[in-house]
Amino acid sequence: MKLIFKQSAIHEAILNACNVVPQKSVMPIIKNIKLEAKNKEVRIYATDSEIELTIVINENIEVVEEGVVLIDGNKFKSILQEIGEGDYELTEEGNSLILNGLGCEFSINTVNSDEFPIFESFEDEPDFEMPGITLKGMFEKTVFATRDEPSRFQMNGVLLSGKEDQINIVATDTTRLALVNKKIDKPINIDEIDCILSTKFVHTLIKSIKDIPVQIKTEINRIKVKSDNVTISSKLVSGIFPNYKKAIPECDIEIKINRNEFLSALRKATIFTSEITKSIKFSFQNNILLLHSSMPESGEAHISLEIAYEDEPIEMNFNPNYVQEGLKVMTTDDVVINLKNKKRPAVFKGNEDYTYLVMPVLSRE
Amino acid sequence: MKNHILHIDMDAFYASVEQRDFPEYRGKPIIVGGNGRRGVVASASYEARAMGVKSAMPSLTAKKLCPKAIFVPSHMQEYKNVSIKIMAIMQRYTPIIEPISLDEAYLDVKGSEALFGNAVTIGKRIQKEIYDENELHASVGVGPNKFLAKIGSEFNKPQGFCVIDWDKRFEFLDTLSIRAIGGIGKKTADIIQNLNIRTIHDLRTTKLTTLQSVLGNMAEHFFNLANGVDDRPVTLPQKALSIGKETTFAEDIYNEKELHSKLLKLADQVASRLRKKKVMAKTITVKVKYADFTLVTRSNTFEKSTDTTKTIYELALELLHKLKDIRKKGTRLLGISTSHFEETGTGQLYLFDEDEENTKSQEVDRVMDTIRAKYGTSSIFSGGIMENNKKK
Repeated sequence: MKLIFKQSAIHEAILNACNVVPQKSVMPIIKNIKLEAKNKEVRIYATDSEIELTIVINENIEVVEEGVVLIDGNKFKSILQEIGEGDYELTEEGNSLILNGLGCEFSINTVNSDEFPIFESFEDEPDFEMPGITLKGMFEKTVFATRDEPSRFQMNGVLLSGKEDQINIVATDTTRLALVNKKIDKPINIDEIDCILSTKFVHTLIKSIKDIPVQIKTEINRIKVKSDNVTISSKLVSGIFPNYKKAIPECDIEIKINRNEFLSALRKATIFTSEITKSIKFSFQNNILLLHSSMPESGEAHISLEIAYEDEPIEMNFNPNYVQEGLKVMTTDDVVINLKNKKRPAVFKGNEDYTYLVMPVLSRE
Repeated sequence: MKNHILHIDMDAFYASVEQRDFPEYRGKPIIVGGNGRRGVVASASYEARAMGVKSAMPSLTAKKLCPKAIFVPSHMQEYKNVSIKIMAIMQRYTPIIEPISLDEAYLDVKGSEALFGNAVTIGKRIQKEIYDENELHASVGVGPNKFLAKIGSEFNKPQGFCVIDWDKRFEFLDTLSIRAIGGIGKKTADIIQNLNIRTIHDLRTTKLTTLQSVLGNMAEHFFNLANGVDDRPVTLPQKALSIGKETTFAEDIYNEKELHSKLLKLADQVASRLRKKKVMAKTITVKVKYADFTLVTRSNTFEKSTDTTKTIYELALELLHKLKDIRKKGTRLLGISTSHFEETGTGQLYLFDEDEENTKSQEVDRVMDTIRAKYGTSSIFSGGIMENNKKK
């Protein structure tokens, strides 16, 4: 194998591939990444045995001699990071891959590539297609609401569901829930999509897909996503996603509030909350939202904010971080808060297509 | 300086409860405590005290002083029950109560005087209500600070009531022995007496620097108290920082199943204590002492607090699995403790909390608690614990 390439042509692809490579594995071979030079393009393969990522590079790279090598991806990543932009040459010599250019020469040991798993191909008709940037945005607005907490929650994934021309993505850690809904141009090809994606897969997708159409295909226990030069597939998370529709209350109270002012007020109030008991009091009355936080050992904060609300006063407590995280991914100037009662979630809405729920904290009366 | 601190001290508490509950003991020298060779007097009635018997005295000495003394076994649960009733009476007058023991507490009534009258009125009312409702006598001291209030309650015990005004403090203090000052025990007293200081008057008229040369840091504190100066506030009892339970086994355990069953029993005990105290814990810690006496702990904090036996057991088991040596080394001691509490019914709420599994284990706990409240702690166990007992 012999390649001539610009550092910028492969740097990002190697970074993304290395994010898939597992820290620990029972199959040592997959701690490497595979480079394949064939037909004027280079394919980069990485897997953690659940996720399979393939990236195709065909710009700013010249295949002088075809070939396949397996190398330690993290070492290659570090090299690319350090050498910086410029033109380089990569040549396979015996059991090494030699990188040359701008006064550097690195010799990276190669590993026999025969044992590297063969990835599943994406040849079938996709279930649906949508712009990459839209899908990426849907995941970005939801995935933060999951949590990696061992043992307590079975639910460590993001729900992808679809019917006709509607696609829903839902994520929850049972204290809050984020739901985004989009209409796609062409209805999906199958009756219904209902699968749980691992958070690692979602993060890989967010990093790898660009603003070009992506095709999605679901199988019994796998999902495959393909865009022009990236293919990612993953094992699905088994289990049943909680009945999220039941969790969204019918609300009588509606309060409109400026999103940026709200965020700023929350940041101020958060100064007097502790790691263990994170909760601040929200009092809505006489067109004012008053946030009150206190830490008996350090002090307290009272922050007030104008809102449009004249009905019966309401007092509820929330973890301000949860509220902030939802507000941050919204894009509208104003948000609408819907409330039901002290024990039911507050519903935050920006655009029509985004719903964010936060469960309150009950305080001692 | 105004008198707003009360010190309330029950008179010969345990012995008085016994005399109240068993009329045959009335008017007789009663000693609550062990009668054996190593027994100690926990409480003595005034009839026994008249013969020189004191609390904490070895029972053998007490017998010599008072051969007619009747030793009675203690009824700790009853003393605790009475104590709760007495503390509840104090609660009627102020929330600022610092219990020192079952039978003794300091009260700060500054904030309640507008409501109930001055400290003296409040003290008299509490003393009367304690007697009316419990047939037990208390002595009450009233003063501008804790030290003077305490001196007051001891001044004319039993059934005493004494007010020590700031201006008149030396009338009470000067003749007292330095041992009347809390913190001056026999050893310290010996050191001070070497300076020819015997009474509080002697102490307060000594130069502070002289005292410092023999007592060091504590000198100023004792000097202040001798002058009747005490700025220690009445502090509410601190809430428990952790609730846990541990057992040392009669024989080291090597069998993993047996260990799990012990863990379940501990989880059950800890969880039921949490429920009794109406708190839920966020942090679970498992403690293991191996047969070779090395001690290890593993701990995890969760966002969601819990008080169910099942969850605490599962989380503790997970922590136990992290201890790789446990199969090889053998376990001498096993413990579970919980911390970072939330009051039950407060804290973060959860979506989908009506989750069946969860509701079921809460229901099981509730039924077990009810049965235990009625028939005693050992009346019901989880299957996992029983199974292991059967094998034995």
